[in-house]
Amino acid sequence: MIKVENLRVEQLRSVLIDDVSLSLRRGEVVGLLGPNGAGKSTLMRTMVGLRQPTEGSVSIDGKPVSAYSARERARLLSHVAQKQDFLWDLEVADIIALGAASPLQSARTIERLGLSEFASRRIKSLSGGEQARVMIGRALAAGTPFLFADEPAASLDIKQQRAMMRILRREAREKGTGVLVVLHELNLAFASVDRILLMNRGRLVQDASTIEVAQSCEIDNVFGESFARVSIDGQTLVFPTGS
Amino acid sequence: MRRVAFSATLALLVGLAGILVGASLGVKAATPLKLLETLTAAGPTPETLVLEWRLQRVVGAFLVGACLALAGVIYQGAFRNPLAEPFLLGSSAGGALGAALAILLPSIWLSGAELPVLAFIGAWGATLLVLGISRAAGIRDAAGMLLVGIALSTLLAATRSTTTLVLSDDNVSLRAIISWTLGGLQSPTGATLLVFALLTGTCFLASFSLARGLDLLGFGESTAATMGIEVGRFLTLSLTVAAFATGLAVAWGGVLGFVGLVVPHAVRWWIGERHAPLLFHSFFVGGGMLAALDGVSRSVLAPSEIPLGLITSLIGAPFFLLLLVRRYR
Repeated sequence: MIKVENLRVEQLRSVLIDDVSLSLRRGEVVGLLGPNGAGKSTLMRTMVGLRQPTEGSVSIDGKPVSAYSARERARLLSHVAQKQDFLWDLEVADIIALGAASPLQSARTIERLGLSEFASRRIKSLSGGEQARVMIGRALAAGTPFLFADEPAASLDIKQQRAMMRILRREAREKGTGVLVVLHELNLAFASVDRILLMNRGRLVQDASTIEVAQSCEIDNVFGESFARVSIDGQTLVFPTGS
Repeated sequence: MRRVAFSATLALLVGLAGILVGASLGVKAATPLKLLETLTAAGPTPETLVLEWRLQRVVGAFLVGACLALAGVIYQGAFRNPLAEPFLLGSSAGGALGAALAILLPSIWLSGAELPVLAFIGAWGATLLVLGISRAAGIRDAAGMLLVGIALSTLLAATRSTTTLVLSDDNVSLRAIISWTLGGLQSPTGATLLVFALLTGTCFLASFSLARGLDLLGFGESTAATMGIEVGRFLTLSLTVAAFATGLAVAWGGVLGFVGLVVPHAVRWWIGERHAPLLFHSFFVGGGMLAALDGVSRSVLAPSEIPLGLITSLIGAPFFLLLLVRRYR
């Protein structure tokens, strides 16, 4: 389990994360939602050890994240950043293999993500959406117990967004991976995650089940929109009404 | 896999061909068969002695080229800058300053050893300075970092010239240093050549432990860090290996520009950008290229020599311009 306790992150004098406590268990898919600048990426980067907390702590299985070596950490968690540099124009299969625990794992991931047709293509020749799928594939191939994905669905078309979330859910169900995923599409989140963390201005506003968050008025406050809600087949969908 | 094995064999052959070409060219051209006879000849004749000298020198040139290509690949990966190379980053100039001091100052320790040691310290120090200045100034882009390298290079070259003028009291050391600056290959013999080869081999092997990290750094420092690379430590290790290779190259080959740029880029076009094969291929192609060019430098204006540094710059600088044009278009 990853535990975040009373986390505070400051940069220069501004507070990026303010008194956030939460936990991420194995086998659950948790959505991290909030407007731009709410601190979602910063929270994620702190949780994976890329940033130091100013106060408070992040621990994996009871041990502070900073106490693990980079190599140990890479065996426990994967992080797919929002924006990805590609300095070297590597082949897709090579990129997956760089993250993979074994060649078998790498071949399976390529097949499972439907990347076979790109496997021998160079990464820079792919579209943004295809690149995003490759980077998720690279993370999945590592087979870590925790996976952090920062807006993996951002550059995907509707069909691929659903497919991406199905893959993450299956990873959680079958392998017991704990997944934390930043999403912007509210209805995509409602359809695909077990629990939602709602952030605003560095604070964690709500930590509740998907259905609870969908029906409460916190999302209206946080996004500064009033949402209309529709229930179809037991699932709540929201639409901004523009007022 | 088969493709890699094939191209690796080809790279080895390129290296070997370079040595053969280099050893064949010269005041008296010799066929590869003649070279073989020389190596197996029973008694030394004036002719075989010339060829033996030439063969040793060409092997030395091979090692210098291999080191520079290796250093180029590592610098490019570690600085995340495809235009980095020992000459442009100022580490060759640092190495040359160290080498010049070794020639000028009275021999303090083991005779001969201070030259490569000071060359390494100079190359390493210059690299750390470029990295330090760039970090302190917040320079992250390729062009900015190269400007720091070029400025430092100029400063180090001026320091070397000044020190040379002040300290050299006879014409011998002055001449030796000037020929160094222009890329004058030394002709290591026997035991020295063996030591040089062993050190170069060590660099070659050490560089493979860097391959995965260099691949991952291409995704950015954050991604590399979450994928298991201790970035700070990795960079220090990489720059040490690269500076060691540069120091070796400078100690035996003087200041040779652009080898570390041309070779890795040519190899990338050939086999792609993964670092394990890139390091392997660059090593042999770089060595072969410099060995062959050494032959050219000895034969174009025979019996006098064109300094090798002039030839590498004549080929390398236009190539560098070509890369710049492609990058900014």
